[in-house]
Amino acid sequence: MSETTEQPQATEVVVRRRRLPSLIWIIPIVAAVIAAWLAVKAVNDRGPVITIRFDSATGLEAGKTKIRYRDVDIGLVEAVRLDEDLTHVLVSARMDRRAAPFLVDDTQLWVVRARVAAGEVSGLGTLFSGAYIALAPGRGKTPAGHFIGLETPPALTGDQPGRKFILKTKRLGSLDVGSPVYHRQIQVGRVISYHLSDTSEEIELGIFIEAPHHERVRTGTRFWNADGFDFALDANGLRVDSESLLTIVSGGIAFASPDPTKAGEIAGENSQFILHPNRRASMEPVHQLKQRYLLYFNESVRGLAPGAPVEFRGIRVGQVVSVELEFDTDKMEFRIPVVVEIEPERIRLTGDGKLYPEDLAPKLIEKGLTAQLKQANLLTGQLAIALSLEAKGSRPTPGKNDPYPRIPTIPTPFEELAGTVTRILKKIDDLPLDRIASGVERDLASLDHTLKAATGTLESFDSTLSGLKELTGNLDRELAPAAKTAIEEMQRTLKELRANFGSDSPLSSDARQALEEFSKAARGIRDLTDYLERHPESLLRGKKGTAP
Amino acid sequence: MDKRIACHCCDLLHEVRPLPPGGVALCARCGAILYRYKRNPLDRTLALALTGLILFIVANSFPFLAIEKAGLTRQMTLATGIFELYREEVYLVAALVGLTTVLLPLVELCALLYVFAPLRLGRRPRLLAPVWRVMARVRAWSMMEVFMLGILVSLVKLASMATIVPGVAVYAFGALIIVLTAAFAAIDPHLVWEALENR
Amino acid sequence: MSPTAKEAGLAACHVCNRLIPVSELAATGHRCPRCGASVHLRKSDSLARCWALVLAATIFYFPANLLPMTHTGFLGKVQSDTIMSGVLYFFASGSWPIALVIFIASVFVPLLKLLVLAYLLISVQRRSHWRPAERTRLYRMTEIIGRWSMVDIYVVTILVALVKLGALANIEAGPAAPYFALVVVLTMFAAMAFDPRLIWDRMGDEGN
Repeated sequence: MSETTEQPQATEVVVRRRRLPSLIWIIPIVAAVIAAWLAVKAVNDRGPVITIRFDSATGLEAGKTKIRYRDVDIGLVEAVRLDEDLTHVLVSARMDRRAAPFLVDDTQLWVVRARVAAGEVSGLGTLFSGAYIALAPGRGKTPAGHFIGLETPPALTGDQPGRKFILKTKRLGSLDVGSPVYHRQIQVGRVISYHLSDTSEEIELGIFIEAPHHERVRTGTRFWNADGFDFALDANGLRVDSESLLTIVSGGIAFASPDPTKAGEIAGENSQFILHPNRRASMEPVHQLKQRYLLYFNESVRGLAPGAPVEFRGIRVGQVVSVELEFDTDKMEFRIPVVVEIEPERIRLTGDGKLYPEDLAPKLIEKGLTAQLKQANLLTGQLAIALSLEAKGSRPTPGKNDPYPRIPTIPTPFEELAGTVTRILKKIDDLPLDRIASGVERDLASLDHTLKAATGTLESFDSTLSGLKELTGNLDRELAPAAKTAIEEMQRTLKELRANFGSDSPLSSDARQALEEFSKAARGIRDLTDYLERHPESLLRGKKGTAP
Repeated sequence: MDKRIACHCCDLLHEVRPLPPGGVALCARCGAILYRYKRNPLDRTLALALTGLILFIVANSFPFLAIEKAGLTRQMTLATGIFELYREEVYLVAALVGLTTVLLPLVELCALLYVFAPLRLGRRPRLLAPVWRVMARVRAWSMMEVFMLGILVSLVKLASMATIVPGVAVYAFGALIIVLTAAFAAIDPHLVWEALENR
Repeated sequence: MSPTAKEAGLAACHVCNRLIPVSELAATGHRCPRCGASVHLRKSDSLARCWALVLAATIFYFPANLLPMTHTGFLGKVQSDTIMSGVLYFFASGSWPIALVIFIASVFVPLLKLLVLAYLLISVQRRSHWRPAERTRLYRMTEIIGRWSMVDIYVVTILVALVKLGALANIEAGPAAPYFALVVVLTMFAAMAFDPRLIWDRMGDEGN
């Protein structure tokens, strides 16, 4: 036993410090990792900041106004401030990363607000949401960060397939940017711009035809102004043309190829065309060659107006360009110079081909071509000019100051006109108008009678119907259902018949009204013939009370 | 050190005795909680406070909620609400919301870190006493969990009217509430008192 | 039964639970020697302060519930909602759990808090002996649930921030919002001003 037993020495424990930190530290590490990932993602998703210059900031609000492409949000306005020179507004916007490829030098941006223009109402949704900035990506390759905002929505955005053409016209009419372009009454494009040409004599209209319709524009295609109704009252009578009801309000352009076989090739980008004033003008064959001639008339040309046809044996070969009045102070007499335009290409030439169209008219004048006024439309009093080789006129003596070569004129014999009139009057006189009118009245009475008879018949139908009803009641029990439906069908038909021919039904009252109308007209004709019998000259000079 | 504790509710004096793991000391007379058993208190408090700070940053910088209606969308962050109230000149409410949901939680988090980071490293923070006092006062006015309930009620209120899309920040905010509660639960105040005594 | 701290001549620090002999309080300037918080044997002027705050909150309780809390503009039509009309709307539209939550948090809890505090104040002043443990628990409950009344303020905040869709839909805070905020804040201060130890003190005075 040693002494050590008396005082047992306690050994101190070895204290080991914790080697690993507590597991609780995993929580902040995980949180930090997630936060870092979120931050990196947020930074990566941030697209570029762009600035857009607008004239005014109406409706634009920082932090609220969105930038949209095809109605998808791709950016947000961050700040709206004034330009340094206080003339414009600079809008800076944070774009999505996805939008970065759209931001090229020809990208267009404009503010979308509620807008009513050029036949369309757009942006109604912005009444609720406030304005937004719309974007149309350009086709360029150069990235850009600064843009000039458009004040109005562009008629043409860069990403639309189609083709641009240029139309030349003398008057704009009701056309505007955005006016529709029709082909066979379907809208296929629109007007995208207009400006005066360099010489200021014409207006150049830019139009855009959407794909695939742009292939319908051929070199031989004709464009015309389809704004509203096209009224024309001329030697050919009254005509009305309207492309679409919409164009009456907003104007529009239509195009077609007059002769599909000669339409030509597909027109290229920016091809130029003439915009004709109306469809008819556009459809007329274009005659490059136009020769002007001067005609002097001594008699009244009342009824002759620019545009009046010049005919040869009833076929149009040209038109009247101007009608004026001249007073020769030497001879102290009036004469009327009429300038006409002859289009020799309208006449097909056969033969050995030694004669060219431009030599045709002089040759004919040499052979004694004469011009004469002619009634073109008896009712309206329009005159035309008839050319002929038959009537022999005096050879024209070319005047010193004549701007154009002359075609000799021969006076229209009054007897000829008067003779026609008398002939017509005689014919009218011969018409058994009295008898016609009384016949019409008789017819009316008999129709009335018929209608009454029809009503009677219907009444008897009615009784038949009730009989039938009884019968069907019987049949109901005895006959097959098919027969029953047939009878019901018949019953319905009869009812309809009654509705249509009953004395108050629309059909019979329409007929009665039409007949009354007709008898009124017949009375009018009788009055007219009475008047004409007493004043035959009024056919030529107009009714006395109204003549000047 | 005094081994006695007075109940804060009824003033009854108790002898302090060690607790088994998970145990809670209650007042013998009124049942108020006097103190709890704490395991690894320094590490837990500090780790949770740090997590809380990260979550706080996320909750305040990312979109909170988004509303979608008829193609229109609007996003809000926590600050948007306070800003809109301020703009509508309801200053009192704006200030109250700002204090209770943003400013005071941040104060709490910073105070926790300020107190426990040095303690964990075996040092005593200089302003321990005033910071600790502020933290005790602020606790009652930090109402993030109430705000969370407010979010839920708003979601139901708006659900019939428009589509509501919760953002990242809402989840961060929810996690922050849990983490902050856990951080405070992990605190062993005796450690702080000891540190205060040993000055 | 063991004595209370007061009976032992000790005051407890509210922040760090340090016990300080009452005789030393004056010397330290009513400061806790450990954490520096102000230390009093009982919360100073507890009853008067609590009464004042309860009365103020009661006054604000009326405008908070009678004035509109939100103005909702929907397609140009503006509708004003009080707290109660919102509750009724949710009840009528079938989402009664939400109606219940809003009703309890915004109408019932503030009212309950005011009534409970008033009752506790009166019972302390009347030196009631009746069930001190239950009354203490009642106080703890009011202190805990009081903060949840803020939920309506937060709902208004979120709605105001989120529903800003131009003319389509727009929500603005109504005049009731600040009053309601005041009610919540004042009742919270009132609950803090009340010293639950008084429930036991007064009882002890009479009991001995």
